[in-house]
Amino acid sequence: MTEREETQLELADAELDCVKAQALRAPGLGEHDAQLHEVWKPRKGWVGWLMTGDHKRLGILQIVTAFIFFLLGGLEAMLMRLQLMRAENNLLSADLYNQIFTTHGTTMMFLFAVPIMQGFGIYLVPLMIGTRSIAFPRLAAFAYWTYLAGGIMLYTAFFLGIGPDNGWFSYVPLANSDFSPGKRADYWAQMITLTEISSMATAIQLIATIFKMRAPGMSLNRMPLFVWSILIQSFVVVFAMPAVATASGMLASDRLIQTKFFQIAQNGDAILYQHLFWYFGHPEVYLIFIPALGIVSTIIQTFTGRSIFGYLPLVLSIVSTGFIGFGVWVHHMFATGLPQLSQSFFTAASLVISIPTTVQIYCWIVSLWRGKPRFTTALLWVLGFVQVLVMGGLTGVMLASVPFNTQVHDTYFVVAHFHYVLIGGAVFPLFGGIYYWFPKITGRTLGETLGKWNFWLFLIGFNVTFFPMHILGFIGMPRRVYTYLPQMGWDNLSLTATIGAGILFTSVWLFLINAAKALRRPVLALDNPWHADGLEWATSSPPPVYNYKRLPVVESRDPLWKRTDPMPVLTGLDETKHEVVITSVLDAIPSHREHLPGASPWPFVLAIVVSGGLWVLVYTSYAWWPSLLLIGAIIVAWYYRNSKTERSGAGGF
Amino acid sequence: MNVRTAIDVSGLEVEKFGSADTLWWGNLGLIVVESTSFALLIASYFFFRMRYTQWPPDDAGVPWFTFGLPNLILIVAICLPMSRVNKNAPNASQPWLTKMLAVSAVLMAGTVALRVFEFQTLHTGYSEHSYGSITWALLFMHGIELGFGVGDTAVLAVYSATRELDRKHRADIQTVCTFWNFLAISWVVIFAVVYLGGRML
Repeated sequence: MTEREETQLELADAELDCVKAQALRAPGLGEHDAQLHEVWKPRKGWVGWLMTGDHKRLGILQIVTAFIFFLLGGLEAMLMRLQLMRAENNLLSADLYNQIFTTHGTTMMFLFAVPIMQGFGIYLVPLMIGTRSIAFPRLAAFAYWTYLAGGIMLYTAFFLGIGPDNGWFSYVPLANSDFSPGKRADYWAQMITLTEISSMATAIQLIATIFKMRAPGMSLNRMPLFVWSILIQSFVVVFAMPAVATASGMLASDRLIQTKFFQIAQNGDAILYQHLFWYFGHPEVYLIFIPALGIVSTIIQTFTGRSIFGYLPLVLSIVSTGFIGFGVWVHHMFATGLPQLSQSFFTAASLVISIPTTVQIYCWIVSLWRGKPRFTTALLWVLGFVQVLVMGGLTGVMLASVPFNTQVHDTYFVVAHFHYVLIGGAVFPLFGGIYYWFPKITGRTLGETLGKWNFWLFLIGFNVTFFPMHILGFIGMPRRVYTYLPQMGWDNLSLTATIGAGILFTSVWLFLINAAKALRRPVLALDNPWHADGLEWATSSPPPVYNYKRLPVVESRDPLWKRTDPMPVLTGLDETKHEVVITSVLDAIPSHREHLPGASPWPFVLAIVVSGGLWVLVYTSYAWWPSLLLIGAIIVAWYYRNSKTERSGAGGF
Repeated sequence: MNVRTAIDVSGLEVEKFGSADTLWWGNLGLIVVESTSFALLIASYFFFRMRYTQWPPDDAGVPWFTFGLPNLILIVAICLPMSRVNKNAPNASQPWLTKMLAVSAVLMAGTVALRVFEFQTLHTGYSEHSYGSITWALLFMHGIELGFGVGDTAVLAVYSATRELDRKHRADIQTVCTFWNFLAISWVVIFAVVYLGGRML
């Protein structure tokens, strides 16, 4: 669709949408709408945002925050590329370079990739499964504020010149107090604790929401693929994240109270740290990648105009990726001299994990082949994803081989590989998802022309940046060096990569301009501008605070394309309260009704105290017991204030 | 969009107990996270064992059962009143629930007190070597959970004594019971690792 056609389409429906928007917002136009609005409406002003339990507001907060961290991480990447564009450059000092690459990796992994995927989950899952909220709205609020506090903690340290400088994995013994005096590694460890608390809390509630709050009729075998991907991601989170929380906790206690987990002289073990970290670290890749698979399937289904090919193999592939993802972590440690038997096992597992991804790619190709693809910007991002991910996957298969792996260990070949996997596997689908769901979230469509510029520049810029790094790795350029000598012969390829980074930078700017232009326009998008099939498009765009006027009942895997007319809905909920219907895990048969709590300041207060306590712990170990007492007191206050009036919906949502 | 009523849920009850309740799933999620953390600490214990020729190391003694064994018995024994509370929480009289929760909370506080003494009988400090660090970590992390168990149960006892329990709060009581069962099961495993592992490995 060209931008001109799109604008005409929007104008033709503008009047209709304005009337609809008024009907949603103005009390009095519809008694039913007004009643629902009154019960579910958030409090006004910034206090309403601080206290909100609305999954849409929390999702928007998380997505926007994560995107800001993405921009910060991108700026750090740009600085690194400028430093490396020629030999013996002195733009950045060695110390600043170390802080920047550590903060870049930490930001992208802990503050951008996982949170933004979970942010999409928080926003979209209740809409996609046809309910009014997530299972534990206050836990969701607590999770968001804790995540934000973690990000603020990292960047405060960074801007004060005491940012972590040991790499995003903070390996010991380098990160031990002997080799890293000062507080840099402590900030890293406590930031990890905060972001992990947030991710785990979010994952738990997404699992509970998906299992128990699906619309009647949405049995597991009718569940949208994006919801499947968020479910599996959440399971990976609850089994993987405790490992990094354990590792960072041990590191912090080694540094703070002189335990000896990783002190070699007292029989501590640096390899144990690597095991704990990578037991989390490799599944981390998949918990970034898995939701992206759901985004890709959703976009392909919509823009081919027919049901996705191979729903069952796609679901099984996501599930098996989640499982096998726990059996490959040692391939990050091949250079540590592990026994050959374990190396062989992890080589095999690392090869096996490419099978489910390949199955999915074949399913998507068949879907595109059988349908009539509409090459919108969202679909272009998906096609770009296939190109980039396949290349990253192939170098991944190469890296699974021990001799090859040890040869290129810690070189730019590895940097190229994981950027192909992570940017290809997550950022491309994410941009596709943003173009796809932007009308749902904001009520406005992003411009297609600027979008296509954004995509093509990103694809070209990405390949120009990262493809040369394969060759740089082959000719011996190590990772994490802040400069190099002219006679190494790395100048030209490094300069090429920096030019590519400039193109990427321009592309992201175009996206920001596109978003700003769209947001300045009035709300004009159609409820379902893509003629999509997901339940999230069965309500207005943006959705009202209560999501659906009538909660939908699902009759097939394609709830909008293959439904009886008029659309089946559910009645009988007490709409004077925050009431939702709870259904059975497998077949989504209605079981009972539940009341959800309303808006509350306590999640915000608790997040402040938890993060404040961890912050003080950076400087004194005595903070642990007053912090625990204060946390306990706040939880008790939260529990007691959770009175009947709050439960019944008075006081906003 | 035209709609028709396919299902009327007005006849369904409000709030249910057990695995029908979303809270049960949330609690299970937290238990999975805690279990994974304990499992990783136990794995670390065995990993450290490989670095020693003698276990416990020369300058540490084996942990005594003096406080550990009574505490094991107490932690497991508290499952009995908690199981009764769990079973009867949906319908039991409020004074009975208050009494049972209060008694359980006092007994749980006893487990925390015994845990403090347990550290004295480990015969190692936390900062001497990795053996000391990991044994302290196992006891401490589980001890923090015991503290949360006491806090949860005590707050619910006070709530039950001072306010009317609705179905939601009765479900909260069941959640604490499930949590304590988890603490007991996990402690049986951790106890075996710390106290028997110190003798048999």
